[in-house]
Amino acid sequence: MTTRELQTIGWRTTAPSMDYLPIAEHGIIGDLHSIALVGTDGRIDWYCCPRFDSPSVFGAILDKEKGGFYRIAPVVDDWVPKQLYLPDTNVLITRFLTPTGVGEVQDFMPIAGGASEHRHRLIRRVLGVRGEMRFRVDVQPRFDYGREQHETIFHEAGVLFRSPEVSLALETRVPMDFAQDGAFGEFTLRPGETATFVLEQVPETYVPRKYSEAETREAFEETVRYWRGWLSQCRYQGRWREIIYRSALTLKLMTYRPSGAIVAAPTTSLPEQIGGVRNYDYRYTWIRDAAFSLYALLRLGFTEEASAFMDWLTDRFREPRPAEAGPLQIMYGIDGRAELEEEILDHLEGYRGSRPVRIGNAAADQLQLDIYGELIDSVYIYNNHANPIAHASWMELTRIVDWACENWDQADEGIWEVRGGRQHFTYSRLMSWVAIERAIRIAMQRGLPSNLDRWRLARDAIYHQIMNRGWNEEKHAFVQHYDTDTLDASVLVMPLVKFIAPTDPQWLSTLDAITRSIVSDSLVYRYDVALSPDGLEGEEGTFSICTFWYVEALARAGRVDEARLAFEKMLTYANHLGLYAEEIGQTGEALGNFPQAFTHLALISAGHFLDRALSDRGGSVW
Amino acid sequence: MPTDLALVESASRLSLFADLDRDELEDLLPRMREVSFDEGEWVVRRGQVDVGLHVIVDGEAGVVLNDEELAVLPKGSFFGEISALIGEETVADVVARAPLRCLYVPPSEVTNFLLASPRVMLRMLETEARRLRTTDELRT
Repeated sequence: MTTRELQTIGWRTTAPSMDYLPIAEHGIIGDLHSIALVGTDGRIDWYCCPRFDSPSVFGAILDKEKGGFYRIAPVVDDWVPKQLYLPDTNVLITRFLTPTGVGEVQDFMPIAGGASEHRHRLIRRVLGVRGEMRFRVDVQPRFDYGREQHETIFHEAGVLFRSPEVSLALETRVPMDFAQDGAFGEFTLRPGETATFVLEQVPETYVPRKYSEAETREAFEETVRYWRGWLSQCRYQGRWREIIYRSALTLKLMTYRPSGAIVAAPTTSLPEQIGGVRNYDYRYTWIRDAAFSLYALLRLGFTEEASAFMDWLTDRFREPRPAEAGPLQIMYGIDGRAELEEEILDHLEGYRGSRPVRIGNAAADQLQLDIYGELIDSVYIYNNHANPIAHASWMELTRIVDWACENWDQADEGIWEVRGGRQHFTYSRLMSWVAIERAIRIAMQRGLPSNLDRWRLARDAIYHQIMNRGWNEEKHAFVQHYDTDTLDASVLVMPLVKFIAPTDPQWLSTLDAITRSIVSDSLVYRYDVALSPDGLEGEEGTFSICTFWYVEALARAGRVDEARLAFEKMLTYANHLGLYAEEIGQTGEALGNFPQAFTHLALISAGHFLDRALSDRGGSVW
Repeated sequence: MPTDLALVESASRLSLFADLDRDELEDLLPRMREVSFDEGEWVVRRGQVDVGLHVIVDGEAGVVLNDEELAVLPKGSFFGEISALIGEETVADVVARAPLRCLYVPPSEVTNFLLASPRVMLRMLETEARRLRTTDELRT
């Protein structure tokens, strides 16, 4: 009998071989410590345990052969997948439709309530819906990004995968057998029947036990309650509510509960171009991204996250740093550690051959002066909308503002973390202006002690310098840095941060120039890579955060209809669940790390502002 | 006796032997022998006294009482040890639900087998304790 015949009668001899799914063909689940990516084929191909920045256990998205995966899918091949979230939650449902039956997998990661210790559990509950369906489960862990060997030990109530650093128990009533370096099992479900698989980080001597259906149901209901309870704090009632809620739920999934830190994305090295080299580890907390995320969550009414992040930041302020390096590093580990040494994982081929796969991030040591602007802007918002800033934090903040006044006039690596040498970036200057301007506002509002005279002098000096040197007479636009005529999408935030009036002629001509040069069918590139060598090879797609900035800039300039159409077009690039990666390729494919906080926070911000702009003028013209 | 490498490999994945290193396992295996059953074949009949310890290496078995299947024993499970230890009759039938391959210790040798490897005995005790707790939970 051939393998094909064996498969036809429902028996596979080995784990099914699989190719890479498109990045957008994934949903995400998480427990505020880590996340898992669940493909529409029922395969978990990214899961780091126990934290976001721990080594991967399932990493097939970075190497389909060596990365490891955890798949539950029908035994037959001719199924059609559907994927959705249980409404207002991060409980993911992957459905499989066949002519003879329908079945689904509910995936979730429980979140400990109150003071109880968090257990790192990933629960997959399989349900028979219609007809009879035979499923196959394959669990093929590959610890430490596939570098560490493990033992597979069969117990009465499941399997223990034991590696030197991490052990995982798979608890299930389905009989499992050995396959390659993991386990597999097959089972049949009729309507109303369930099979549960609990994967949990455990001590190495742990013995798997039998989960009762009641226990699983309770974990499921608690998880649903948690997410709905959290979302109920959201104040937003405007247009595009579903996708804005989804963005908020996704941002929340990227917060690390023990410290309050927010990761830029929960993945590493998903490429900005298929086969390209721009592959980076985003599982860290960038001051910039986290400050923007906070701003977006505060806008929607979520203050708890803001308080936790402020505490985390205050700890960072207090850490000693060399004076020339600035008071803050541009990014940290989620536990606040400063060393994020970059390493290349040569043994992994990368997503669809996109080498290298990097862990750690060498950009951590870069000088990016804009971070103080994003940071103090979020403190300003926090002070106004959540909690007035405390004495100790303010005193630390004044130290940062004094440093900014002293150090703003120097070249840096800029927001895009170019590796082609330092420049005098317009965006970095702009955000230095924001840092000092927002600090002045807080000091004035609250009557807090400050070097106001010195701060004002610095603020105005930056303003004049940007107006003189950031402006390019030939292009009739503000440009990327002082020694170029290249346009750059980062200047789109100029009216957003209230540096320039949104209808100022100099701004309107900049907006026109950007539209002509780096906007393609309403999607926005960061800059023209060919004109602005950034020290890296290859091309890239359009950058989603830039597109949302563009939408907001158009709306603020009074071009609300144009803004709305661009926004609606951008919504069509979300995946089936409303998730975005960092970039969008030529044919609409998601590129880069996924999902990305930057994109989702900008969506919230643009949607929020656009909704207000539409309402203020008395409704829509479309 | 030459060592059956495939058998050592299979046995090393079973919970009972998870704490043994390869040498210890190779020393222990000659005390056991391999037995196989076809799908549907009775492995143990209720009331039998000379059962011995069976450790499932491949396949699965059903525990049956009065035509009702009480439990499914997958790979890594074991049965027959209680009857062997206390010398009493088994209280249920065991049937091969799929082609079944077991490591087997005859009833008269079970005690010495366990004394030869306290860590195997401890693992067995853990499983017995869990079974007892599950039974208690079902009763309450």
